[in-house]
Amino acid sequence: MKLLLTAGFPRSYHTLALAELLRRRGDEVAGVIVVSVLNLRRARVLLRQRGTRFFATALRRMMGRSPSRAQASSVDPLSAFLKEHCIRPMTLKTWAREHGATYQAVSDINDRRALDLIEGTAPDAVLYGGGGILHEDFLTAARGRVLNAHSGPLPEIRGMNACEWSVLLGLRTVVTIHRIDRGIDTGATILTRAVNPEPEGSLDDLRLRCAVEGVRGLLQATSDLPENWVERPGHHARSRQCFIMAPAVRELTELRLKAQRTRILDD
Amino acid sequence: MTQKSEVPRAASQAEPDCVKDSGVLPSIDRYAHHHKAAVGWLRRSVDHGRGGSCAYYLPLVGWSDPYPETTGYLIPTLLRIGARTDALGDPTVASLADDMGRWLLSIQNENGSWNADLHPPRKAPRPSVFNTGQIVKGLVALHRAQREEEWLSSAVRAVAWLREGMTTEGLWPAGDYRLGGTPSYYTEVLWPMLDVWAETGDERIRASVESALHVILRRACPNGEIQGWGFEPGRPAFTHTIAYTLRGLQECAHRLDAWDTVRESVVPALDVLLRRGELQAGRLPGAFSEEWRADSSYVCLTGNAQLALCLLILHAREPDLRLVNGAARLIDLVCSYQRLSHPLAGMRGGISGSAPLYGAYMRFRYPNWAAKYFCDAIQMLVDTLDRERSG
Repeated sequence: MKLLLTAGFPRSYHTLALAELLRRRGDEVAGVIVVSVLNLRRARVLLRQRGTRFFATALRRMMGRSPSRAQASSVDPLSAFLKEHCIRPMTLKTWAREHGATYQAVSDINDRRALDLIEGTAPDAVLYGGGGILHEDFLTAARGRVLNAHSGPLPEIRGMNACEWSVLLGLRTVVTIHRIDRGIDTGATILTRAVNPEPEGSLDDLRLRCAVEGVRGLLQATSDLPENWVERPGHHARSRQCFIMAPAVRELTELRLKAQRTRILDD
Repeated sequence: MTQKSEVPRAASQAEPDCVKDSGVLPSIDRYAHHHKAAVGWLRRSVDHGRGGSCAYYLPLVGWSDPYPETTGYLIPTLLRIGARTDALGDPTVASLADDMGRWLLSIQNENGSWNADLHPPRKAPRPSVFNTGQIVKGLVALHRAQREEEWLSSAVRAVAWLREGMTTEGLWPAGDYRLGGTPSYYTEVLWPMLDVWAETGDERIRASVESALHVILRRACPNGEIQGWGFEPGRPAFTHTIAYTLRGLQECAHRLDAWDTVRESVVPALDVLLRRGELQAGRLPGAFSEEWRADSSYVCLTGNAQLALCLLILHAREPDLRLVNGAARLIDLVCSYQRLSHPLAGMRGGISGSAPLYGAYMRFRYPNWAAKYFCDAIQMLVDTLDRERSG
C-alpha cells in the first residue's frame, strides 16, 4: 500500500515508528509532511491554546525527548517501543532521506505544498500523526482517506487530551482508529484497541502508551486496502468537545488514575 | 504597566502531576492564596467606604466613593466567607456584612428604592431598578443569616417598589440609567425578587417575575445570543452583562423550578462561550457584538469570573466535568492577572476591570465587583473540585 504520513514536529517518534514499521512490512511510505514548529503563527496559536507550559514540552520534543519525561516513570513507553523494534531515534527528515521518501516541511498542514504532495503521490491513505486541524481541501486531495489514531473512545471523548479525559470521566481507555472528516473526531471508526493503565504509570505514561497503541492500530488498519475497511459510520457531535485540561482538573484526573490503578491491583 | 501575578506558581502555570499523598489538590492551595488576597482587597474597599464598599480603586487617584449596588451584592459573598471553615473562610468578615447592611438601610429611599450611582450622588438622585435589585440580594442574605425582621421588611419595601414600576408587559419602562428599554440582564433583578417571594410567599411577586422572564426568554436567538444583553443596544456586550443575563436566568429557573423552560436560552450561549474560552486558554474576548463577533483586544476579568460561575452552576445541574475545566481555565486567567504583592494597597489582591488595564471595561480601574465575583468563582470551583475528589 502507498501511504503518506503527517507529523506535528520533526522529531515525532510515533510517526517515525509508524514510518519505519510500514517500510519494514513492505508498504511504500511515499512522503512525510511535517509542520515546522519554527513558525510564529503556529507558536502564537499554541501559546494561546496551551499556555507557557507548552513551550517546555515543545523544547523537550525538539531535543528528541518525550513530552514529560521528567514526570513519567523511568521506562518511557514510546522509547521502549522504539528500542523493542530496534528503531534508531532520528528526525523524520533523516529517516526520509535514508529511505528515499519525500520530506515536505510546511508552516501549515493545509499549505498548498502539502496538497501538491498528496495529489502528486496519490496515496492509498494519509496517516495523520499531528500538525493541526485539516481543512476541506486537504481531505478532498486525500479522497477522504485520512486516518487518525485518537486516544479515547468515540463518540464519547472528542477533542484534546482524550486519554486524560477518558480517565477523568471513568470511561475505558482505548485508542480509536477513525477517518478524519470535517468535524472534530466525528469520522467513521475503523477499529479500537484497549490501553490498560500500568500499575505504577502516571498520566503522561498512559498518554505515551496510547501513542504506541495508536501506531499499532494504524498498522493494523492499513494491513488491508481502504476498500476492505469495515467501518462503523461517523456520528454527529453529541457531547461537548474536550479541551486541554486545566491544572486543577488534571490533578483530579491524576487522583482518579491512582484510584483506578488501586482497583486494578485489588482485582 | 504589567499586571502579571507574582505568585510563585500561578494556577495557570502549575505543574499538574503532583497530587499530594493526602489527596489534596495543590491547585486548591493556590486558589486559597488568590482568594485570601482578594478578600484582603475587599476589606480595604470597605475600610475606605464610609459605611459601604468603594466601587473601585483607580491607581494614582485612589479609592472611589462607596457604591450601594455592589455593596449590596457583596454581602452574600462576605457572609459565605465568614461561614466557611476551610482555607477560604475568614470569620472576621461577617461583621463587615452586617455593617454594610445597616449602611444600606440608612440610605434607602422612602419609596423603598435605592438611587443609581455612587453615594452620595453627584447629580440629582435617581431611583434605580437594577441597583435596588442587587441590594435586595444582600438584605435577603442577611435575613437568612440572622433572622432579623428589619432586613426582610426593607427588602419587601424594595420589591414592592420594583413591582409598582413594572408594566403589564412585564418589564420596567423607567428606572434604567440608559432611559431606554429594559435590558435582558435585568434577569439579575428578577432573581432577588424571587428570593423575597420565597421568604414571604407573596404570589404577586412570583407572577410579576414570571411575566418579565417570558419577555426576556423571547429575546433568545437561534445562535445562542440573547438580544439586549449589553449596556446599550447595538453596541458590543461585555461578558460582564452577558454573564449577568445568563446567571439571572439560571437562578430564576432554580427558584421557579423552570429549568426545562429556561435551558434552551442558557445552554447554547454558555456552550459558545465555553468553547471560545477553551480555545483561548481562558482568554475570553471582553465583549461580543451580534453573531458572536468578538472584541479580543482585552479580557473583561469580571466577566471571566462570572461566566465561570455560570458554567459551574450548569455543572451542578447537568454534571459535565468539561464545564468545570472551562471554568477553571477562566478563573486561572484571572488569577494570572491578580497582583498578590504590590506597594499600593488598592492594587494588591484586586482584580482589574480589564486585562490589559487599559481595556474597554472599567478602564484602569479595580472594581469591587470584580473581586466579589472572583471570590465567588473560586469558592464554587474549590467546592466542586472537593466534591469530585471525594466523590
